Amino acid sequence: MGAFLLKRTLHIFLILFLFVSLTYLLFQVTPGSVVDKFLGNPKMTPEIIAKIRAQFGLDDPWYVQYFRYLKNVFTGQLGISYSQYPTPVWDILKDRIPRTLVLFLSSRVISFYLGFILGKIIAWKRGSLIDTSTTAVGITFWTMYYPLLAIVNIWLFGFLLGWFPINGFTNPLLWLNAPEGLTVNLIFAYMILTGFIFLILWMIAWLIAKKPELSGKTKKRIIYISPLMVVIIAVLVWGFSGYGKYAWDIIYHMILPIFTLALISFGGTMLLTRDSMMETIQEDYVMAARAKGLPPKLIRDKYAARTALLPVVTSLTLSLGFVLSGGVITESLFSWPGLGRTLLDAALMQDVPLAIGAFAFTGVFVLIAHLVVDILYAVLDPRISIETI
Amino acid sequence: MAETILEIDNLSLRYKTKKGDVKALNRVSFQLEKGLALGLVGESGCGKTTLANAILRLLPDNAEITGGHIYFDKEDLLLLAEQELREYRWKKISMIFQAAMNALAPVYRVGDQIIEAIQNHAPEFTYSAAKERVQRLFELVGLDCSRIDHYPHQYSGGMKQRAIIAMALACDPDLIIADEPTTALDVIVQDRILKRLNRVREELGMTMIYISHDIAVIAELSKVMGVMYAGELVEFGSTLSLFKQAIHPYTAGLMNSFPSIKGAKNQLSIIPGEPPNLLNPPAGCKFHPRCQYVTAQCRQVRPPLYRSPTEQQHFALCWHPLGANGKENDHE
Ligand SMILES: Nc1ncnc2c1ncn2[C@@H]1O[C@H](COP(=O)(O)OP(=O)(O)OP(=O)(O)O)[C@@H](O)[C@H]1O
Ligand SMILES: [Mg+2]
Repeated sequence: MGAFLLKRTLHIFLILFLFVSLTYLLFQVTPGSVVDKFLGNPKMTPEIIAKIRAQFGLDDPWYVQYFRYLKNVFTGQLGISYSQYPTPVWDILKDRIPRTLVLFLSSRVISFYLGFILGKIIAWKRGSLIDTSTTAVGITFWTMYYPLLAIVNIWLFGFLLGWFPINGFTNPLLWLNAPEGLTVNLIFAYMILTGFIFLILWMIAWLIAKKPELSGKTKKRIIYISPLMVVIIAVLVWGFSGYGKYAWDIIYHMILPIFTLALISFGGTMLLTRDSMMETIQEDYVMAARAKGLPPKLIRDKYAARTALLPVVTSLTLSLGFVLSGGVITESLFSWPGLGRTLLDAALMQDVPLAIGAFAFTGVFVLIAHLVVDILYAVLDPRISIETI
Repeated sequence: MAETILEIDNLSLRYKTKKGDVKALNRVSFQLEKGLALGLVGESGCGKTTLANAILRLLPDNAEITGGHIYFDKEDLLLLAEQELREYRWKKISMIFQAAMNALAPVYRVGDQIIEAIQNHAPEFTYSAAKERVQRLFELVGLDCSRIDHYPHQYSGGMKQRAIIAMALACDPDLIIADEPTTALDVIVQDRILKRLNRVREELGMTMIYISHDIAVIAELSKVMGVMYAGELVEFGSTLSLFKQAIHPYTAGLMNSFPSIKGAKNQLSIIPGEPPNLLNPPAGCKFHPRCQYVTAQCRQVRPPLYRSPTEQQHFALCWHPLGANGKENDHE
């Protein structure tokens, strides 16, 4: 395990180095620079512009700039944002990264879960009406032009039905009257903490439930009831603390973008699960499970679907690329102040330090997610030991 | 006469494919007495596995039983609902699969897969009680008990085979169907496993259907034998009687291609020709294109059942039964 992590960390740094270098190159070859924006401004004399260029080190040869840049990125000095001068880039990013993470992780988990469940059900009922119609729906959403889907959802649920806010992260009116010291980021941090505690408890419940000595019923009880209890407790605690309405405001704003993201991506998981199930259903161990007289649901879930899950998990890594494009589109359309929109705004405003910072963190996120998926795969498949990945 | 445990009556089955119907079983009938071992032989593709799977209705989506009955303990299994059939699966009839190498799910421990079968049919077994039972089964088939907690990929082929046999014995079934249980193994291991399986069977008084394309193995293990050809059971009877006087020319041909200790290799006669394509089997007797005694009748009409004059249980489907009408048996 230790050697594995070391190896993977080295890999990550190597890829990160390439990624960061490419990002640098990209911004070098993009026409225009921050200084060009001052050109039309009569107050900016050529002397002042030259001074600014010298101050930012823009007159140094490219390799000096490049190495300085590398050194800064890898020592965590992301510099100061041009467009929000003099806020340090890190201060902007540290607020926005969690928002993007929550948006993506929750939509990915939901779409994965939904896609997997639907996929295994329709594969089991292959050829039936449910199968063909659900497959058709899945393909429709999966192949739909994403910005169009987002706009339709905003129009339908935000405008026409008025169920959800059209965009944004919070309702400013509510927060205007908030008590002193209560910030959006603070509440959001507590919400993330709550989610984290929930996940850990659920994982513990899973580990306990995995014990073979327990009967099927006890297992189900542990797996379903214990998280339910935690949810109830969490809701109560939030409710009584008086901050519940603020947390709810954030959740309320999250629903539509998460739903939209889940909608566009569940189809892929579903179709893949269906395909993968069609193969495992033919496997001899599924026939053996039938021969053993096990209940059909158990055969479907424990035998056919369990092994069908493996290639679907692998596909998670491939879909991670969507984080970047999907992030920019979702966050722009929903005015979601996260990493994706920061990246877009920064690029539009020639705010190179901020754009590079946002880019670098997207890269870090994707690389870590890769690592997590690999570990997950090794956990799921006893044939793969973590040392061999 | 002992009681009949399994009776197959006029069973027909086809697989629907894009190219047409594969007539994998055609009016197969036989009766099997309790406690006996039946050996089924036949060339590859003649429908042995199909017959085995049909008994427990473990058929792929495209299979369709077009007629007949399968009586197990007087109960017609084909009339049972899936739910009722589950009571028969494994508890009364278990199987050793042809592809035993893949019959264990890769993601669960071998022991747990056997325990699951035990607990499924006997919920009163606690996990530890079931595990003890697995330990005894492992000893019975000659596997080390420390292997119980291992995953299938940690087993060798022979060990998987034994584990599968242990699994088949787990619920004390009345009938075990062993579909070429050892084809993937080398001859020595194969022999050892078969002997052990047979000994266990005799000790526990189980009935067994033993499928193989190796007539030597069948001769050694089974008291009764059936010969299949192109989806039909062309000959059936006690092994002794079949070896003494085969009725069907195909059976005789099979026995000739099996080198006896006396016979040198060059005397081995192989039946000329290929088994028919079941998409489009020949009319009349399915064996007629390869048969040396073929007549016009054979080409047109399905042969009637011919019973051996010396032994009532021994029958074959043939227009020109060997040993009758003064015809010589080719054997020896
Ligand atoms: N799912 C299926 N769909 C279509 N045809 C099938 C299917 N399964 C088997 N068959 C065909 O049915 C016939 C009988 O197959 P079966 O597997 O029962 O033969 P077998 O006697 O067990 O052969 P082997 O000795 O090779 O195991 C073969 O012609 C085979 O091609
Ligand atoms: Mg077979």
